[in-house]
Amino acid sequence: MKPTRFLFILIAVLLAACSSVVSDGDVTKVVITDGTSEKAFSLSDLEKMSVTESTFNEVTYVGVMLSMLLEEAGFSPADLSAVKASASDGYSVNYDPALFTREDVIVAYATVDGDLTEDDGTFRMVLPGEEGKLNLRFLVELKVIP
Amino acid sequence: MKLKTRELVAVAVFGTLWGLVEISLGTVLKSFRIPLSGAVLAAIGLMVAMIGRTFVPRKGSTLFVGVIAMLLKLFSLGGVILGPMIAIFAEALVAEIVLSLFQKPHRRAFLLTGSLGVLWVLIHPFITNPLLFGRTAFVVWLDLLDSGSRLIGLDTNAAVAILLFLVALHLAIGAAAGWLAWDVGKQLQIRLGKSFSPTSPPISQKKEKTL
Repeated sequence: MKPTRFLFILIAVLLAACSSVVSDGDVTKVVITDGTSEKAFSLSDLEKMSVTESTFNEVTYVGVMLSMLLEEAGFSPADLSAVKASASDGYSVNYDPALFTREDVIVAYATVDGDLTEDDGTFRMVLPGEEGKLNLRFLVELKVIP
Repeated sequence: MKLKTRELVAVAVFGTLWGLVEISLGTVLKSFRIPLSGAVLAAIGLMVAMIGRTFVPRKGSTLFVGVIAMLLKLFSLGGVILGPMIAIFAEALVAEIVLSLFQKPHRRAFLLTGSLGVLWVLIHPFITNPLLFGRTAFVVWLDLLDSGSRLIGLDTNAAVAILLFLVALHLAIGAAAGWLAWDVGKQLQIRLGKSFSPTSPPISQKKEKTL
C-alpha cells in the first residue's frame, strides 16, 4: 500500500472514531456532583437562596453565587482544583479556582427583566468580563474536581 | 540572512496566504466551534509555509512566512487574537527548526515538520492559557480531556487513551499536510520549469542582486 493511502486511511479511521456526545440531562435541575455523591437544585430551590446580580453582554442576570451553591451542596470551594460545568447538549467548560470563587460568578435563573430566554435554558453560567465560551448556557451539571 | 528580491516576494506571498487562511477560515471554524479546527488550520498554514520553503530554500524563510501570517492575524475579526498569533509564530518556529535540522530537505523532513507543527496545537494552550489568561495548567488539561472525550465518546477517566488518540490524530493530520506540501511544491516547481531541488535556490534566481 502506498504511504499516502495509508496516511489518509489512518486519518479517516481516527476521524471515524470521533462521535458527538449529547447528554440527556434534566434541564429543569442543576446537579452538583463529585462523581460519587450528588445534589440536585431546582429553580424553586435557587429562588429561595440569596440573590446575586451579574451583568454579561449588557444583560443583568439574577442568580446564586457559584461558590455559595457549591457550599450548599456540601463542597468547600477552597478544597477544589476545578469545577466543570456541563450543558444539556454535551458542551462543557472548566473553571479554575480564580473563577469559581469570584463573587460575581453566578448560576443564573432569570434576568432583572424577567425569565431567561429560550436560548439560555433554565439555568446558565454568568461570568462578567469573561469570554463567551465560559458563559455556558443550558447548564445541567456542575462537577467538582478536588 | 539576505534574501533576494524574488525570494522576498515569495516569502511575502506565502506569508500572506497563510495569514488569509487564518483570518478567513480560522474565523469561520472558531465561530462554529468545529472540532479540530486548530489542527486543520495549523495543517493548512504549515502546508503553505512548507510549499513556500520549496520556493525559498533558505534557513529562516519559513519563520519569515510565519511572522507575516502572524502580523496579518492582527486584522482578524473577533476578540482574542493574541493566542492565535503566538500559535502561528510557534508553529512557524517549530517548522523552521525541523527544516533547518535536515541538511537536504526531503519528504521525510516535510512529514516531520507537519507532524510536529500540528502537534504544537495540543501543547500551545498549556503555555498561553496560564500566561495570557491566568488559567491553571490543570484546567487546560481538563479542557483537553473534554475535547478528546467529546470527539471519541470516551469518558474523561480514560485520560491516557484520549491523549494517545489526540496525539495520533494530530500527528497524522500534520504528516498528511507535510506529504501534500512536498507533492504540491514539487509540482509547482516543475510547472514553473524549475529543477526541483529545495536544497539550493532555483538557477534563475542565482544572479539576482541581494537586498
